[in-house]
Amino acid sequence: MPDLPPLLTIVLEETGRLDRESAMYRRLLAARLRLESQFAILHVEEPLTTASISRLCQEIESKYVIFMRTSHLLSANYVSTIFEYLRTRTVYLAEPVIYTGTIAKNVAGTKIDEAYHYSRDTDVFGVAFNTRRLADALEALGDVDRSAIYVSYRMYWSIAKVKPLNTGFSMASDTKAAIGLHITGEASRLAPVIPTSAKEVRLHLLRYVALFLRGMRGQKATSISLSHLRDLIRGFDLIDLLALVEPLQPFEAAWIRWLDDPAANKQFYKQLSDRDAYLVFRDKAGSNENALPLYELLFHEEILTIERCYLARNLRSGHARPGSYNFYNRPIGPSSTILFFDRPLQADDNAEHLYEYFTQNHPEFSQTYFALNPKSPDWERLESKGFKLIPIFTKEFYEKFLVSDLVVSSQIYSIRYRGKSFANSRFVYLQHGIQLNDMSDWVLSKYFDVFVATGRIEADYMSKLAPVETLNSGLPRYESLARNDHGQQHLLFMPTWRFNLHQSSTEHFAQSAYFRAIDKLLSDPALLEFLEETDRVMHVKLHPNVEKRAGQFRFSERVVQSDLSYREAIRSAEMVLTDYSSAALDAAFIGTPIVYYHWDAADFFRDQPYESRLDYVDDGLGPVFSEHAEVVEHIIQEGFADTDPKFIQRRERFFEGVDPARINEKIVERMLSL
Amino acid sequence: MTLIHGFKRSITEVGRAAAYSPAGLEFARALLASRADSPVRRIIKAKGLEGRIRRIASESLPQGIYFAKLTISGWESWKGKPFRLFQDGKVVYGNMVEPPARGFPLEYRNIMVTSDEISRFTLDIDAPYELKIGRGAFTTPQQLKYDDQYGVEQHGDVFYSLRGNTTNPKKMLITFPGFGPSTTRISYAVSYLKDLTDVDLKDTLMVCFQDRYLVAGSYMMVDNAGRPLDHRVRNAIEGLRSRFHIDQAGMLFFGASKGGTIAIHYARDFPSANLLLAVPQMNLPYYFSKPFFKDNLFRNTALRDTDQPEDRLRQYFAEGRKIDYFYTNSDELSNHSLIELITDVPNLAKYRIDGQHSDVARAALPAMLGIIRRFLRGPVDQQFGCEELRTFRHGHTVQVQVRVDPAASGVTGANWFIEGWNGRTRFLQLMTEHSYNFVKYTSMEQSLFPAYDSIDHIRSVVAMEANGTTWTGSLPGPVKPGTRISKLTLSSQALTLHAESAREYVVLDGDAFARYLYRCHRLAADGDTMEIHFVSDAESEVTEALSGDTSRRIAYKAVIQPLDGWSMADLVALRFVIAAGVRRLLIVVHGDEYVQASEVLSAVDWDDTCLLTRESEAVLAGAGQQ
Repeated sequence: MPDLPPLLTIVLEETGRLDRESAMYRRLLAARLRLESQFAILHVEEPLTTASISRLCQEIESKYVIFMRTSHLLSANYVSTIFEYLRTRTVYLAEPVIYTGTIAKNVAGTKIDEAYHYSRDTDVFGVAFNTRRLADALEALGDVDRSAIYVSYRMYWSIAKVKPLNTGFSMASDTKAAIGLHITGEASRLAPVIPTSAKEVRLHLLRYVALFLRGMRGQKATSISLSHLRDLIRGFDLIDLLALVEPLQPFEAAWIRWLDDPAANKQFYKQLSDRDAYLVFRDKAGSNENALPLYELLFHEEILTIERCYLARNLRSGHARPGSYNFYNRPIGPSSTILFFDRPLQADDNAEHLYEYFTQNHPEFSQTYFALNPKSPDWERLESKGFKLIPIFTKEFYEKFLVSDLVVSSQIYSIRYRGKSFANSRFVYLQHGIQLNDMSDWVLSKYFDVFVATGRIEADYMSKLAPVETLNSGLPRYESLARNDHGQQHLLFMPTWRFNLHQSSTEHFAQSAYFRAIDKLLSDPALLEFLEETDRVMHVKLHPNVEKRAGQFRFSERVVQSDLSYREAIRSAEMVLTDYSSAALDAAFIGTPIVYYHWDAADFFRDQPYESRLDYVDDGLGPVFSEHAEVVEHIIQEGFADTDPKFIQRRERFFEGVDPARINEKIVERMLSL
Repeated sequence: MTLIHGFKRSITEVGRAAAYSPAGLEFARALLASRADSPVRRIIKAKGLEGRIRRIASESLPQGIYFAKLTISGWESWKGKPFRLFQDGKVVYGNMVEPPARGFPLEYRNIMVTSDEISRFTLDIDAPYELKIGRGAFTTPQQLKYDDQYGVEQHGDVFYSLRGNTTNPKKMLITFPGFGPSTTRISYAVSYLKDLTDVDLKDTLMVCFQDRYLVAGSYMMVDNAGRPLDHRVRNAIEGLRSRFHIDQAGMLFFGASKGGTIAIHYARDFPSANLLLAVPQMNLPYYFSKPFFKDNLFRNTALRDTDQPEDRLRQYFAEGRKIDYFYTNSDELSNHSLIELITDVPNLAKYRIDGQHSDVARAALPAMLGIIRRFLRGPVDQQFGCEELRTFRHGHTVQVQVRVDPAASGVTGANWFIEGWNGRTRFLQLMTEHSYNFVKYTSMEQSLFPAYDSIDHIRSVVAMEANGTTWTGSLPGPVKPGTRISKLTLSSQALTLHAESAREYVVLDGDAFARYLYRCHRLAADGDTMEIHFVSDAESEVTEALSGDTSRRIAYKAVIQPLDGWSMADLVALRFVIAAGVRRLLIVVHGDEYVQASEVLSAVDWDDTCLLTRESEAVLAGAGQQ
């Protein structure tokens, strides 16, 4: 009896070494125990493209094909569930519940609603395609990017609804949502214009368009034309679904509104105290003197400029409607509700410091609250300090938000409640740190009335994006930050985070250059010896995203995971070592030497949603090392103890405009005038 | 029992006369007044005679007057169309065909006729119909059940139910009913105010009158024979009041729409009593001139000849009576341009509600219940902070938005008003509650009008809860209407047919108003025509109109000068002809604006209208002769 072709082929894209020990790979293989010859795994080393997928479809003999990467996550029953479903029927498509982060423990409990369909990643991965039908479709759809194959396939075969199977699959990365989609330069269209009233398909397409536009802000040029985008938006009535784009991609929402109605080239963006911020879209030559250029983007042969301008508030629709409440109408006064918060589980940041200053200096404001998760270790501490605490992100919090006149935070969360958001209410963004990277795409996607900058360099950078909103006051926590020269001092290492490690498995994390470089430093024998000899301790303040993996690092008696607050850790530091953390600038602010260790300088910005705008070598506030040995040597030789006038001068320039004694006062003055 | 057996036989003329004789009537009423489980009542019920006894007990009609019940089949083909029932060629009833209650025939009960010979009656639509005529009033099982449910009692020719404290009350709440739907099975309702509880009525006797006359009520002005009811109802009220020694100030008369009109009528002898009114009709003939009434109540001369509610209310205003009056500007038919314009009346509170006539009582129910409960149990007042005020100007209107403090934000289910003063009159405009409970605003339909609302004297925001609690918050600043629209002093004078020198009259409808200067005088006491000259100067003299119709006899002649254009000239003309009580309307337009004028005036809703232009003396428009 001749061998029958397997029912299913899983194409595993892995351009590097296939990690055969990864849980994901082992989970795939484990399914062979029962299904042995009925499914195949095909490892492809080339990146999957539309052309390669098309070719694979010709080669693969199995009835169904699934594409995935080893970085993806699967439910334990993924293969068996998909297999069981496909075994007894012939379908165009079968798919699991698709996640971007952790797969829910109870997959069946995941609500499959509009929000799900909009937030579901639409790349080709994790879905079982009918191989022959995919081949057929790709003959027509060969000019779309791989990332559009799924949605195009559904349009092509008119697949209006797909009920996800009771198993989960995760892309294990939400980078795309942050930085958008970069599609191949060969694609001449995003998706075929095969209009459908199917909401699922339209929601997928809407997300795809929004992410494409988001990506365009970084990519700057595309072969896709504006007219094609208009055809998609109008052909699929995407404007009707735009409310789903607004919360997280307000910039793209405004852009889509303009694409739908090019005559309305000034799109309201954010309400402000005196005038409102608008985005101005121009696909014709000419510019507005009063507008601030943000982007110049090439769509096929057309240049689109996007500018920002500030216009009188009476131009805003709804301004003169009594049924529309204006959260800016009344000045902030003692009866105003004001909300402060840092991270939900961790205070001790700029909002806490400003709150403390504000409540002490303005006791007449009786409705000032600090929001925090009651499970946070800071809750008790702040409670004992007399903070008026409310549990963050609870009904009580949202009700307070609704009646509040002002929100002040070191974090930007997309808070929306009953029509109120930071698009139509006052928000002071204190920042967690100082922007050293070019995060302009990110900044322009956020709503704030005040952006607290530290020093002229950052203020100048920010003023090009948000001149009205930028305030060069310095971070609140700086005002009370003073170097502790008297007590026990330590060396402090504060590595920051890598976006591409978001949601990565333990295995993947352990393999990462990030982990290896840090762990190698922490366990360096020479360093340990130096610490022992000089009776020093190195505190390592892990980024909050890494804390759960702290056990993987080789801490020791001399190299400890710091349990000090950021503030204490920095105040008592003799020297601060970091890769890119702007928190190290806290140390520089109080004159503590800082040292940069860039073990992955070449790769760092490639996978991050932002680029460096600071040349660390020429403008950094401390020496920069890229080699492990160099940085160890610098520490061992106590190079940090030598005061280099070059760095003093750079520091003064960096912090220009910040009056350490008036930081909070300046912010409060500004926020009360909003 | 003899009499009962007598009913079982076919009723002869003699038997019928005996049954409907005064003695029979008394006996029937005595039977119905006996306990429901008494032997005689059980026998009556068992033999199916309750309906007949009830009909006998219902009314003592003079000889020669009968009740008729008209049942129209196949009404679907005639839906929305008018019909008239004729007796010997004379209209005895008419209405618009409306769908009956589901599963029931289209019936008009208790049409009063003067013959019981069916052959003398005709219907002017080609629909199958049935006519029943008798000496007793017709009713329905639903009405009987309703009466039973609400404890409606018959006291002579007056019907009411009693609630609350019926032994030693200190106060009286007297309610009067409005109209139900024209085809309802329960033609005679009571305003029972089910929301009021026994606790609310602990010290109060509530008297809910039933307007159980004619097809759907007679405004309690006349009984079924057309005889005035005035003294009988007054005696009933006064009897209860004096029996319990209730002070007049402890009386509250309440009614909505028709009920409001009745309340005004019967409050006359109680000047210290309180009045709570919603959308009462101010001028009955004017209100009845529309299709639903023009072939029934409009033809009832007793309703025309009685004091009109407007006159009584103006008298109450002059007396400084305590009156809470709910109305809408979109109800000129009921308002007759009085309540919208009246100012500086002490103890009057005007509540302006948006929407149509029928929307008002429902929309303002919390406030009205609150007023009643404040009367019953004493007022509860709370203060709150009004934190913010925004003024919006749109064309000739002003809207406001306020933000209230957290305490007031928690008030739910209340009516919110923006409150001010027009002289000594308290004025409240209903507001809308925003989905944010701390925001209240006036919608476009709730706009303020700087031309005649005293914007400068708007002072506060008021929330009236149904439980009687009233929240008041002073505005943080003045409402700023801007300077573009000047404040006018609009006359609220009544229209009179005896104005030798020019007087101002204002008509208000919806968001528009129009002022007129006019003179008017009588010509012939037996005249049949109201002659109106629209002129550019009310002081100018005009000659006789040459309508070419020599049969006209001019009863009154008015000279009217529109001050604000022609938009409501048709309403003015209609008000004049109705005030004159004549059949024919002759309108002459002077000057060169006849094109604009004729556009409006040709729409006068009066059958016998002739419209001329002075210059051409040509007939511009004329409806057919009635």
